Amino acid sequence: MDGFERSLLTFIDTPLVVGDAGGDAVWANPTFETRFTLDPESLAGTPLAELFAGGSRERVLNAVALVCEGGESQRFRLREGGHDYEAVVSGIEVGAECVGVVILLKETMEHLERLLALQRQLQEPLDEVEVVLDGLLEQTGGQRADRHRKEVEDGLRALARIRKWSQELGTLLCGDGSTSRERFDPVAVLRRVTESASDSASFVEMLAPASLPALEGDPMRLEWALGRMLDARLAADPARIVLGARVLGDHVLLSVSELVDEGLPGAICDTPDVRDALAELRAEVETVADPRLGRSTLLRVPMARGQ
Amino acid sequence: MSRVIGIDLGTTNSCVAVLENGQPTVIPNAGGYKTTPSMFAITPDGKRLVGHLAKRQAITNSKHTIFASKRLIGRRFDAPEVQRSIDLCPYDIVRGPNDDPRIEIGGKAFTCPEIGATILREMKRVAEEYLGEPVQEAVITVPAYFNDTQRQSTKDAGKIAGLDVLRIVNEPTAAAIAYGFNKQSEERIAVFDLGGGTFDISILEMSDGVIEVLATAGDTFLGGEDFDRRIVQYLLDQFQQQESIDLRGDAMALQRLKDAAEKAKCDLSGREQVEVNLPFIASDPDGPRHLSIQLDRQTLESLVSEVVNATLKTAEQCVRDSGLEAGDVEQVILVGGQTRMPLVQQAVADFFGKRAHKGVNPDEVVAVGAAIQAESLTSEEDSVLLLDVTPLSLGIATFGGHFAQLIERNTTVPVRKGHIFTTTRENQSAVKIRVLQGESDVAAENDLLGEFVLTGIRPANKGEPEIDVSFDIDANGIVSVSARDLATGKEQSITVNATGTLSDEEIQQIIEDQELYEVALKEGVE
Amino acid sequence: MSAAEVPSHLLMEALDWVQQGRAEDALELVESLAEGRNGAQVAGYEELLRARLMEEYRERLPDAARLRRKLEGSELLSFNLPAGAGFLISMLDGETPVSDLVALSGMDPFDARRNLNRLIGAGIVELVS
Repeated sequence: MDGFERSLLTFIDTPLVVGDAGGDAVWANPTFETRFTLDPESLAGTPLAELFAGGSRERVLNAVALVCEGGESQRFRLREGGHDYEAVVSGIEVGAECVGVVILLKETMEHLERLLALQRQLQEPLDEVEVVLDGLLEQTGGQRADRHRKEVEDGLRALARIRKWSQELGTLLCGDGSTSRERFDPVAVLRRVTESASDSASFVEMLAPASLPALEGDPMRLEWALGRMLDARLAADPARIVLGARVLGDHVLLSVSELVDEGLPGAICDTPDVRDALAELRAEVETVADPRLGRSTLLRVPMARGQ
Repeated sequence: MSRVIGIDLGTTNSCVAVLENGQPTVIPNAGGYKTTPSMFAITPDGKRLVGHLAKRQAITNSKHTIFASKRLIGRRFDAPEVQRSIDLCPYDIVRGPNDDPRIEIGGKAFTCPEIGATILREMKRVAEEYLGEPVQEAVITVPAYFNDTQRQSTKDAGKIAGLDVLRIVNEPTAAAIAYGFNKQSEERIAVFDLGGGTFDISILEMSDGVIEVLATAGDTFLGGEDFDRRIVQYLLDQFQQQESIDLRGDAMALQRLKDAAEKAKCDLSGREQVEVNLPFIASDPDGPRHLSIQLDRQTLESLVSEVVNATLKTAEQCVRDSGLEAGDVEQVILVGGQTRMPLVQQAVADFFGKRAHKGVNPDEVVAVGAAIQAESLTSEEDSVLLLDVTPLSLGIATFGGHFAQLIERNTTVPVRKGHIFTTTRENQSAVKIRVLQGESDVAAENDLLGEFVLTGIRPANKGEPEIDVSFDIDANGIVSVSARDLATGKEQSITVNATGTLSDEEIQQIIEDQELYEVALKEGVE
Repeated sequence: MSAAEVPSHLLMEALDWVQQGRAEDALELVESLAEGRNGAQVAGYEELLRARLMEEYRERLPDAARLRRKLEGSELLSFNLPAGAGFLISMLDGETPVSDLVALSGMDPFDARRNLNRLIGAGIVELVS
């Protein structure tokens, strides 16, 4: 693989790892390194199967062996770090000889789709239960069946609640993956990111006023992107991280500042999917670093229209 | 046995009282205040504030400070009061899954009973600190016009706060109890309640310890806040004239102006003139600017006379509903801090032809009445008999979408009333009873309290079967309805569990959430 | 614009001040450069300085500390204070802890702490012992 191909693969927002004919890793793109929290230095020479969690190793091992023996591409599903993937293992051939393998991991929504299907399947038995309970209610209309009627009414109320939750579940599942565009309070997003990071790291804090002008975009996506940025920076082990927000001209300036005791924190590269999420907000991203102070990543996000 | 407290859960301020050695005591909070602002806020760093602390940052953190949530409790999202609140309140009000209004602050949507519970829990804590023992039971007051759903939601709030609500009492009734305590008079009383955010007027009749509410009326969007707003407006205009600086967009300045306006208003009840001084209210390239404006009582009265007149119009309506003349009222009780204003006292005196009774503290009288009622519910001695009225007419939806009133508004409760209805189709075997509350002849324009089906009606021509529909309203104002087929004796009944209130499971979930939060707070302290 | 771009000599001077323990002066200087050509870079240094100073302010004025006014009337009015400082002065009651004052002010927490520290430095406000 030449430098040009590598640089192209670097920008793919899909985890990808390349191995040699012996089944050892040669190179992985940044998305793979981030998702699988790999140290790029120690990647080369590691058996491909060992890059994956226990449950997936055997399937990776078998697929790589089959492909290296000249077999066809192999496809199978695996789950890593809370994500579902369809793994495609293909051979790199020179002439008729297989000189290596590429493992491409396509994220799938299988898990969510299954949940959505279950949510839909639930409707039918719920309808049946409702018909039965309605019938029972009619038969318990008299005074003597008072206790039974109350129980049936309780059943109907419980059913109504199940329906409501099922609908909410459906809405949540259908909403997943799509990008919403709404006005939102950036301070609330920052607060959630800080709170969830503080569970594991007490040196993350927020520096923001009570309220700021609204931004326009998908708050969940921003939250996700900031969370990923924070995770990546926490891995570099800074002394303290401060999530800041303030008004800067007609923009809201969001910042992730890493304070160090000495020198600069380790190099960082936010993944393409994080960059995409920030691009959706029309955020201009800058990084400023100085060994005397630390490093700050700045997101200049335009305020929502009409403010 | 633990003590039972009386809580006035107000739109703007709340107050808690207890009976000690037969005498009511209004319990001060840690700051020494006998009333606590009914406010709840979440600061940017996630701190939850209740009462005075929440009020101090209400303008600078307006998006995350909840006030006047009582206007929303037990109402549907589409109700005009909710829609008006959406227009007026800086915090976000969203539609809940039960079509109820929910308030979003600090990234979480709170139900109205949950917010009410936050205030009630604070009042419970204040009482427990004072009494040095846990408090589990309470009597809570609500406006006389609250419908079944609103009363039910207030009870839910009590439950979430960990209180067993022994009785929901109408606010004017509580005021009258406080006034009539240990007296054996026969009098007709007007309770003129001008609070921070709402105005209520009720006409009551007291005789031999029996209190009957004859009529009630009010305005949920009129109160002391309107007075403060007009003063702030005046100060803003004056400052702009003097310094050519408009402070309307400056939250910090507005917070200071609001506090100063409230103080000036109170001071002007005892003095003819005050000086409002707010140093460093603004700054520009020439340096700091200070606000210093003289405000006299006459100016204040001219600013708010329109609001005072509006209360008198409502009072006229209420007196008319009671079937009395203003002059028939023998005593006038003033409730709510705003009634301390000389202009209000004079207007009330002119309207009723007599000066208001001076023996009760307007801020505390409702909580005191609730405490007395609490004591009488738990003691074995002779208790005050309460006779309240239903604030809204009750009835059922009939053929063609009409509303058939069964109990007119201002009918004394507890009450039981019935009426015979019939079928509208040949061989109709079931009827659906839709229970409504309101004043419109059109069923759809009234509040739906609940519905049920009476089945097994014997086959007959339309108009022949006789179905006796009866309403029962208990002393809490909670409604039960039954329907009986006179031919078969078949009966069906419900205790109205209003749509829009929280289910037991939802209440339990909220209680558990609160418990989780309490644990988090203690960890935060360490 | 990236960190590799050469900052102005004033920016370098500000960073030197940080090493000399003059982070507050450095921030003031950086703020005065905010409109300059290195806008994004300046904003980045501002963020880092604010985060660093916040910790210093917290050490100097702990969350639980309580403050009261030392000066009143004409003595107070003789100072050239910004409106934010005036607002904080109006909130002082000798009882509310600093952390609550900052939260209640609704101000940017950094600005609130900075103002309180300046007010103490100017002798307008004092710690309640």
